[in-house]
Amino acid sequence: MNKQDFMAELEKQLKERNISDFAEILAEYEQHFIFKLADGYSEDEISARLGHPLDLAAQYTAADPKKTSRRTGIRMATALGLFFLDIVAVSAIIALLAWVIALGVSAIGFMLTGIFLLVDLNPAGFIPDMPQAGAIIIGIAFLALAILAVMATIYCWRFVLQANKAYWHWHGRCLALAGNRPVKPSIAAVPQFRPSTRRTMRRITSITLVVFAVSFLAGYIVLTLLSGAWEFWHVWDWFVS
Amino acid sequence: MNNQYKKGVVELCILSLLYRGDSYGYDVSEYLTRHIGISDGAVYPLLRKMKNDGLLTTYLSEKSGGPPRKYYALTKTGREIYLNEKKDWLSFARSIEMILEGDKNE
Repeated sequence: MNKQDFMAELEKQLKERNISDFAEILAEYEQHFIFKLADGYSEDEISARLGHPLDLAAQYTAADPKKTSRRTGIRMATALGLFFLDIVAVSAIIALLAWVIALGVSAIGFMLTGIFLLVDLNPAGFIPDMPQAGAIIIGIAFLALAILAVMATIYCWRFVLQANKAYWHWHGRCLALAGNRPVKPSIAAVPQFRPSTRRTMRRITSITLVVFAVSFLAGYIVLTLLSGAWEFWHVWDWFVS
Repeated sequence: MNNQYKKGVVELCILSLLYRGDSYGYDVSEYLTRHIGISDGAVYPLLRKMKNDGLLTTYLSEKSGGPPRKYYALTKTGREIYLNEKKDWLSFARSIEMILEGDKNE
């Protein structure tokens, strides 16, 4: 088939299929012929290698007439629903942030308590009296607790950041899906650490956990022995005002 | 080569070529026709479909004093989808290779 017949037949087939951008498609095949001719192929060869215009046109689908009112309705419903969900999500993120702040402040509190116990200080007067030997061990327990709280703060902070990012990413995906646009692949909902970071955090956490458990138990035993009673806090009037 | 293997992966190859740089439709078509033996006209409908799906975008460029030529380029979404699917495909292909190579031990 020569080029003229080929292009005419292709145009006819595309129009029959109601393909609105047939001119652009034909221009592309024009370019194809031009390049191939420059490479020395004949028009018959080129059209033979392309295939029959009927088969080629069959691979083109008419542009989506999906922009009907129903599509717009779906988009609007999605956007409206997402708006209300956003309110809930933002509230949840704020609550999570508050939790992270509380964790961080606890870490500071634990650390100060531990230090005070170790050096036998009592600035705010909230640390009950106990023999220094017991105080030192319990102090170590509190320092370990402080480190655990710091680890938890770091993890929860990264969690909040990732949860926020993941939510808005999902929000975008919903809108894209409703608007019949391409949808980006989803992202992880849990914080992504580097393997080395994760290993370090895990190691610190497990060691500190053991230190805490051991020192807390040891402290309890020491205080029991020194007070002569299982409930040493009664003996020393800790919770009596 | 069985046509079924080719169909799924031609779009991925198109994304890969355009990821390296914007091209004419003809250049993409020629490269793939030569390297994976698909038919001459197979790429053009795919390019149009991928453009309608928002993975690609086109622009006209007037270079070297000739008539304006149409370039294809990846969109931001196309880029993200390509990198994701590339990872999936490569790990899939490695698994298949492992399975097929494994029959040597039988």
